[in-house]
Formats: sequence, structure tokens, C-alpha cells
Amino acid sequence: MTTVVQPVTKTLELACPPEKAFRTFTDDIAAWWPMETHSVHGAGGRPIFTADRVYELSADGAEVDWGRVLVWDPPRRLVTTWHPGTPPDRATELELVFEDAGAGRTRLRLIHRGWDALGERAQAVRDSYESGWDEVLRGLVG
Amino acid sequence: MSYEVLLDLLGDATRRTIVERLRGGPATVGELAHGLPVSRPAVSKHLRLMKEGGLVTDRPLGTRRFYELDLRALATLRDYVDRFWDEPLRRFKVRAERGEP
Repeated sequence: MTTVVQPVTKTLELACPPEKAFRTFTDDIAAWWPMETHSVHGAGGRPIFTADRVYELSADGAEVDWGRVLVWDPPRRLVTTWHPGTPPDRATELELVFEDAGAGRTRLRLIHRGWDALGERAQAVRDSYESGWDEVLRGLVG
Repeated sequence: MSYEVLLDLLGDATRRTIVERLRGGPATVGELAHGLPVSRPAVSKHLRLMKEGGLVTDRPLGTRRFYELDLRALATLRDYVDRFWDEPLRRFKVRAERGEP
């Protein structure tokens, strides 16, 4: 299968243990996530990361889904779908691996993938809608 | 140019194959359709969408029309995808490394 947009991989060394890193990424996300540039509604809202989902709570209480948690394995691994501001059928996939680097340090690996393949799922959904409409229209013209 | 539109375009396997073929240089509809399990009109339709989305450009040469990949569009998309996590991770690191447990 051809992949045009290859996964994004980022590696980060942290001067804290994996437990703290995992907790900071999830429970503590509102303290560091740059909402002003990376959100649907902007700086007034805040992000929330639970064991089930990641979402944005706007200043007036509206919720915007960012993703669903697929793997919640503290302090080692976190996998979510990722679709802030777009429908879930267009989600990419985000994986975070918190590796114990010894001496109270963590090596974080972030892999953000599925830029193509999940678009295909969206395309399949669209195709099924289109074929559904074809049948409806055929029924109308007889 | 919209990143969402570009990603949407690249979500189709036939269009990705067209992109890979165009990396080899400009080509006509006939050349692109050769060996693909879709019809020439279908390939034309894909190319029209890709042109509207800024992924390809076309130009006539004599009686033929050549399609070309807009490498700048792909590079801009790649750049956007690569850069998205830089600021969140920078801030995450600062917060995670703070003194209190």
C-alpha cells in the first residue's frame, strides 16, 4: 500500500520518571497544552485527558472531542485516535511510549500516524453514502 | 491551500498511486491510467479534484495535457504535520520536569 504522508515520530528526553511524565501528559494537560494555537475554540477553553477520551471544554461549557483512548497503560503507553475539530471517521492515531531511561529519567517516543489510511476509511464511508444515494435517486427516476 | 483538503485527497489509494507516479515527472491522463484498475474518466476525475485542491497542476503541450505534482504543496503539508507537536512537546517537557511530583 502506498503511503504518501509518513508517520511523524518525535523523541524527547525528560528529567523525570515515567510515572510523572504520563501523569503530566494526561491529568495535568491543562497546565501546559498550547490552547491558543492548538485547539478548536482557542485560548478560553481547556483540554481534558481521561482514561477514555481527550476533549476540549470551551469557556461556555461546550465539549469538542479530540480523540478516544485506545490504550491506557500507565506509565508506559498511551494510544488514542486524534481528530480535533474533524469527524471521528477522519481520525489519525497517536501513540506515546514512556520508556524508563534509568536514573529517574524518561525517554518519550511520540508516533502520529494514519494520515492516509484513515482518510481511506472516511472515503469508504463517503463511498457507501454515495452508493446509498445512487439507489435512492434510481428509485426516484424509476 | 487547506491541509484538510490535501489530507482528504491523499486518503484515496488511487490518488496516492497517481502522486507516486507523478514523482517520476509530468504525465498525461493516459499514462497515469495505464495499468490502474480504474477507468480513464475516473482518473480524470481524480486529477480534477487534485488540481482543485492544489496537489497537481496541468499544462497543455501541443495536443496533450500534462499533469505535474505540486511539490511545494506536499512539502508544506509535510512541514505542517512535522511541526504540529513541537510546541506542545516543548511545553510538556517544561511542565513534566518541574520540581514537585
